[in-house]
Amino acid sequence: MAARTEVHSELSRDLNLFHVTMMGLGMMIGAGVFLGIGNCIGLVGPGGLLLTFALNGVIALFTAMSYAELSSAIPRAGGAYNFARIGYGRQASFIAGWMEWFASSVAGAMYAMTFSLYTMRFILTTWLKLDISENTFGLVVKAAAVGAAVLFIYINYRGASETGKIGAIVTLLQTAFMFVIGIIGVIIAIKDPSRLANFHDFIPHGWLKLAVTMGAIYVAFEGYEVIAQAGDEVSNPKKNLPKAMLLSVLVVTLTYVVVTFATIVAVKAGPGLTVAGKQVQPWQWIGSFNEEGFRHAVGRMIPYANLLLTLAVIFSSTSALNATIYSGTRASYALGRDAMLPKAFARISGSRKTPWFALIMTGVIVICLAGLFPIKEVQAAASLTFLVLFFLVNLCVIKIRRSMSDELTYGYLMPLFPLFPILAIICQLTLVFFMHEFSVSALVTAGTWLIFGFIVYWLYSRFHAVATEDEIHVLEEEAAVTVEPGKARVMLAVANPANALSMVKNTYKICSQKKASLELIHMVPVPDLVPLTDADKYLHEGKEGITETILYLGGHFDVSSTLRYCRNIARGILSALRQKKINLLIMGWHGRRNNGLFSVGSTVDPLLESSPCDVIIMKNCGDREYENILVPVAGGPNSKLALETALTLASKKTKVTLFSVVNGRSFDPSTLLTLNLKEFGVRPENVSAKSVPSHDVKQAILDEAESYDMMIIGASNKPMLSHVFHGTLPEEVAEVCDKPLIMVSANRGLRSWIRRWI
Amino acid sequence: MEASMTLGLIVLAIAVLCIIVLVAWSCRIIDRLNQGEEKTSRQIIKEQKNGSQN
Repeated sequence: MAARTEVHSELSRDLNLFHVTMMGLGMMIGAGVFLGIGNCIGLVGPGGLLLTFALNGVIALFTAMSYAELSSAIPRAGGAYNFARIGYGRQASFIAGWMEWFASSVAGAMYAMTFSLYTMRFILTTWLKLDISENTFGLVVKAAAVGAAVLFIYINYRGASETGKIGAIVTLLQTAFMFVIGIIGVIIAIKDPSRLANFHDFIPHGWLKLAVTMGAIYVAFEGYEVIAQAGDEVSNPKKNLPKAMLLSVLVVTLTYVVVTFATIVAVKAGPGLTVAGKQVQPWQWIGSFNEEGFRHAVGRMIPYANLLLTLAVIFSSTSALNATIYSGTRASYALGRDAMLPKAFARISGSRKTPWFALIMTGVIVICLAGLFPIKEVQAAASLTFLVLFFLVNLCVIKIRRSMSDELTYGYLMPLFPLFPILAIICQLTLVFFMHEFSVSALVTAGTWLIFGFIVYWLYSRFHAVATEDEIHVLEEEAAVTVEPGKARVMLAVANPANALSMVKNTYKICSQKKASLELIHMVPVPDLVPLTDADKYLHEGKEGITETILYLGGHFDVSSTLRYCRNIARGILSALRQKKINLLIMGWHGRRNNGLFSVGSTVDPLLESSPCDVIIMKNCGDREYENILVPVAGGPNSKLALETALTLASKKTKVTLFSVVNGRSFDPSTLLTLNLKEFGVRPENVSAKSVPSHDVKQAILDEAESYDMMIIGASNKPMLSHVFHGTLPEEVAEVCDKPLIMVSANRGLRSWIRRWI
Repeated sequence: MEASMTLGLIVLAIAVLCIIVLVAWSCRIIDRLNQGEEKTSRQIIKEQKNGSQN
């Protein structure tokens, strides 16, 4: 028997094109457009506002093409910081990381303020109908923004920020909601063409004002930086990363344009539209509400607009606030890790595995900005810092293509190079130049931070910075998985070193029967605040035990062993099953069910529901021969797999009993036996069938189990949510039964999936 | 219709069209580059030049 003693480490790339596109969209659709429309329409007019979003989309696309090309060649976490380090070296990477830290923190403050503005307006004015002055309301908004920031800093510290697929679905709904607003506007304009007159005075204050408003709301197009940050979590990154960046800009620009159009035609011109007693045009009326202009305009178009917009803002701002806090934390953590900031920034807390100091420092910036600055200034400062960051990335794409064209392998090369990055650089410099007309304090704040960054670099970073492994190995890529044709593959997920040996021995019997190869896998969950690529270096604690176990087992059995870093254990296992084309998953279960939404547990449930292969779950299965195995069956699709598993684990002396409870819905277990014995090639004297009449199925199975030394039961095949209301019998039996127990779930492809959901 | 509105609408149409065309073009490039073996940018550009000469 060949013994293998190497443990392979890998990252769980479990985000697909849809997830990562939604991740980018989630960062863009929200605060930028909610605040931007009201803040800018008074400055640039109705047509100018449409052009602001459309032309910003063009500049954003040029920059997204640069990000797409770089991410396809260097698909790792780090975004602009990483690109600057590879393109221009340490000083540029420090500035990129420094600006990224500030940009994310300012954007976090903006999302916190948008969240509090809309929720407080709804709670105090619409719901409680309190008559409070605007000054008092402003203070309440600031206090609520600080409270929201503190709450999300705490959530990030707890490491519970992972939203996964639910986040993608929320973003999809949010985008659909915004698009519906746009479609309603188009319908209104078709029904009442006189509203198109709202576009008169297309650009009342001249075309140059476009440069001012474009710069002010550029933050609404910053999602591709977040996509680049997730570079090490995306499946097929050379293809999915660039596509997600480009598609997200396309979707967001089209959405912004139709939403802006709808906002402008939502308000009917007439004598009722007055500001300070003077009749005004609809766009002037919207602009008079500043950051709340969008809410007031949409309120004239759809019923319950306040409630709907508040809900949309709660979803969009909270997810974006969360993402910006961990994005800012990651940026400062990376600077600390590479010793460009004090090492404290890279310190990971023992219990939560989060970089607590980097998180606190990011939190301090978010809280200060949210508490001290007006929302308009914060939005402008966020836009400005992102413009500087993206300017650097456009320089990097030119430098890297020219200097490393023989080394990097690309999944995307932008056409007409270097036309688009040069155009983007010129446009970004222009927008920065005109920013002083919108907010001088934003320009001063961002400029001060940049100068402060140069001082920190010259006085501290350049003396302390260390060459990291990442600086040398920029080209590492994971090898593709090779599958031996015709050979089944079994994966054993090991969580606890204490029972790993007995599980491997049981698994080995199954592998021998199926002539399958075995892969041991241990999932290491990594908090969002730490890049997956860094987990191997910083999350040693608790890992040694399982590594030793895997090494021991590798020395005694012919298995391959993998440590896989992931954000979520269930999602990580699922992506490994698909990537490695596994036919059977085996895992242990502690035996306690979660109450509430899960029938077995938050890790096991998603695997039973979505696994692309058969699943076997073992509870208290020691390493010994079993003499009597009970297999309760009810004729479901899992009964056959339960019988097959029992026969695989049985020795020559083992008696296997198929057991059925007759309670109105009769099922004859001997039918299953007759149909399958020939297929499994088992001697009939070792297998028998038994039926017992009873109204209490659960108790009848538990009573029968007393005379056996192991039970193998099929998992529930009921639709996913039914267990929340009715409970599921197999899982209830499995929890109460004190005998060694195995629960099995057979994969039936599309039929299984449909049945689970419907 | 005022002149600035006409010009504005033309610019708007060009901007939206430009975005759609560039995204579609880029997606085609991505699909093509990810079909075969991994290549460096120098190899890809060399092949493109050879292709255009042929």
